[in-house]
Amino acid sequence: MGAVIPRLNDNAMTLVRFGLMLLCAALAFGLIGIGFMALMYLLSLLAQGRDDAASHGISATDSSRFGGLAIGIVFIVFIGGVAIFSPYTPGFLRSDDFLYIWGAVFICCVLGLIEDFKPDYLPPKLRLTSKFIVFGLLLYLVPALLPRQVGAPLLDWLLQIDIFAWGFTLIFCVGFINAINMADGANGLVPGIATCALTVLFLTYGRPAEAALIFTCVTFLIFNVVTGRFFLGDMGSYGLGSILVIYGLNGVVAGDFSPAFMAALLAYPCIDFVVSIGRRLARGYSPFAADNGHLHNLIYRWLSARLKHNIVANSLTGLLISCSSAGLVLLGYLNGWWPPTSHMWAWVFALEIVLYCVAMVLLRRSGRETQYAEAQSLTASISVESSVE
Amino acid sequence: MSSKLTPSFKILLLCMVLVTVIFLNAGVTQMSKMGNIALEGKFTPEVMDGLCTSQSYITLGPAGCFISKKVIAAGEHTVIIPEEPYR
Repeated sequence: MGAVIPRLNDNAMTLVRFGLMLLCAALAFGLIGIGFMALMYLLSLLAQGRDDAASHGISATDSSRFGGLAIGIVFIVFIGGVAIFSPYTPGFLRSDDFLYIWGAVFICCVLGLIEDFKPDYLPPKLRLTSKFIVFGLLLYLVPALLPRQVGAPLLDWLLQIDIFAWGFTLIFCVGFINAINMADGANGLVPGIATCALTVLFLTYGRPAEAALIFTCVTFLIFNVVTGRFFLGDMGSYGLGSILVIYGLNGVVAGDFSPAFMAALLAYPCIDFVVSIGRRLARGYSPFAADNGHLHNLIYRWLSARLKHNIVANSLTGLLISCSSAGLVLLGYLNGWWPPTSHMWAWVFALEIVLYCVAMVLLRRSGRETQYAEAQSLTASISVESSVE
Repeated sequence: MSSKLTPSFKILLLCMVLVTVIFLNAGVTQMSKMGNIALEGKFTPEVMDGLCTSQSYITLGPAGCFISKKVIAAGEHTVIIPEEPYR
């Protein structure tokens, strides 16, 4: 009997979670929300692309890395379907620039998908080189994406030189995609940040691509946070990272957003990336070495020690960070603190840096030493964390 | 893997596949229908206000309806002007 009661409780909890998820999706997006939930559930059952609990970072259950694939499928179905059933013509069919942009996003997604299907099949250096080549070509073919003014006098002067602007933007784009990939460590963290950023872009431009991505990101966020067993994977982080960096650059170059606003909106992945690289180099490790010293690792450890429930601690970590970084900027945008073209957003960015540093110092003081591994893959990076846990 | 699945679980999976296909198809069709209505009605305020019917709310939900209306209002969804530079 003693063995039956926990089993019933487990089943009841699973049912409650599943019902809650469906209710949230249906209340927000009606039948299509339920349809996308069903697709994610089906993909999460596939034997391919799985991480078991023992090998995954701050996850407590077996999980699937096909979140990016689910988002990709629904995105293509929506854009393709609307193009077929209505007179809408997708951007890549009527503009060369958008053909190159979506071509670059597609190649990044394919690189990630290969990694999701077969971890370590592509060496990290090959993936990095591929991203440099793809974005190098994109920025050469679409020079309109190169920013010429960011509000810093010396940098503005240097950005007038074509080759400097190209190289600077290229390093920024590839760095940002890797930053998003690196930050994808807690439930709801990257999808939460992506949802806030896409909402700002959608409210400004109203483009169908952003509309489809908001729908997929919000529904994925619900599934990811509630179940804790479905992740974006490399396809999701590369795909969302490349879309956000390209649309963000496009908005800054068009003068619709100030660089300070974009920096504040996408602060967490960028700050965490720079701090992580600095930490590794300072300790004499390779910048590619995996470690468990990210802020989301520290917050998770602090929460899990108090909550005693790993999925709740994991999801709270992701939501806490995404709400207090991109969520704060979205709140400011909706309430009109400043126009999105204002450089005053630099103060919000500075506040986010201060918050990051304060949280890092406080949590490090009470936590364990960061552990490093020379491993260069997702699986390896997360196994470091599990060995610590 | 398939040999381990019970018949009831296989039926559940089949139902989920059907739900995915039918509901996503319904969403795409509904959004396209709203776009076509707005195009035929020349985007007048009356037509735009009447886009979100009870059927739209069931299929797309309140958030989906708001998003669809904004996409249609932005003109991108239905108006094709190849010469116009993309924003």
